[in-house]
Amino acid sequence: MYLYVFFKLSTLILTITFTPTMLTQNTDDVLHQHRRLNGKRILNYLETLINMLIVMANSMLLLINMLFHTIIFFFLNTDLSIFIFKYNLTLLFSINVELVAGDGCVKYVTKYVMKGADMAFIRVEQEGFEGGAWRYDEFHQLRLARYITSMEAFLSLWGTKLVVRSHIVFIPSIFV
Amino acid sequence: MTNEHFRGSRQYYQKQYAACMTICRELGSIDLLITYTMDPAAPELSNILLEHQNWSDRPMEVCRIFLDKLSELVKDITEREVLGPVKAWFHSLEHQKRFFILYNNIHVFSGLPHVHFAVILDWENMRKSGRITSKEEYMEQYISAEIPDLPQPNDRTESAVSQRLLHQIVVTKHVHTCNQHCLRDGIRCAKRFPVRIFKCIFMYFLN
Repeated sequence: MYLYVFFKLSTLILTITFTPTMLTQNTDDVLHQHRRLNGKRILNYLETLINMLIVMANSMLLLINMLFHTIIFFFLNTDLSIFIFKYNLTLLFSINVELVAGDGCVKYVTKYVMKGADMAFIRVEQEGFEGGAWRYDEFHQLRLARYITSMEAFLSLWGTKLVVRSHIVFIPSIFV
Repeated sequence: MTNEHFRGSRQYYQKQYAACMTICRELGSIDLLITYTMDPAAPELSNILLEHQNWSDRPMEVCRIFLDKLSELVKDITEREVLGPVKAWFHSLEHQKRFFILYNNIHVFSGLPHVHFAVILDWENMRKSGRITSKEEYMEQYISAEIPDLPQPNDRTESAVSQRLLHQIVVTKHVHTCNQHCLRDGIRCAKRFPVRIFKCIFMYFLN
């Protein structure tokens, strides 16, 4: 909202000085990234790269892997297939790191993390019945019409935990 | 079997959400959100696959490699503390884009494993060490979305070599290119790339 206002009043940007306190107060719900407009351009194969197109990441996480890779390749000089690389650097892979600024969006982020797989609930209706509903029981419908992919099936066979937490949250059965 | 114990149901996630919110309430708000996706072109996977096979033919291997890498990532973040001292964390594993794809005239279910990792950082510990005092400084040091500088061409020190590697990785691998999956209505990118310029200006003024 704040940013939008500034976009509208873009002529004012030059006159107002920005302070770090303004950032923390007003952009509560923005996921932050470090992206400077330094006008750097690099000519790639087909198009020019600018900072606006770079996906955010942590340089340490990227570099560790690359060094790991090179060390194994040059010094051990063994068959690479026996090693599990940490995180490979190919085109489709990604580790994105985003900084969450402010407490305002904790609920949103947690919900986003815990949203689960994509699913759709279908309600079957019938004429002549009250409200048109056909014995709609959400849990029953989920059991009947759930589909899982082969990879999910393997994970559930192995008993892999879907959600892992660092702390144990104990829910008391008696509330005083 | 009660509802909340049924894996992947809405009630199950409701309970997990409540537990994770308890952690956030007691220990502080989330500071980092890390997304990690399995890569179908991983070399250890392509070593396993036969000539005519696709990654969707070997779901077990895909899962095993992914779990190994995930445990490494967890170790990196929590034990080796690549991203600074960590107070608490939680992650959730899910499969996205679970639809039929057509591969070699055969319909197969796609959907690679995918992890959202939320980390709560230990700010007190970080302030004690004296390097970082605020979120802006943390952002400055740890997270970047820009093309790194290249060192001098005749510089052969270790840091210069790693800086060159980083530049190479970012320029080749960490660039968002819009395709038909992320474009909505053929125009607007769902991931909001390229990042609008006034946001960059906003950050530029701060620095």
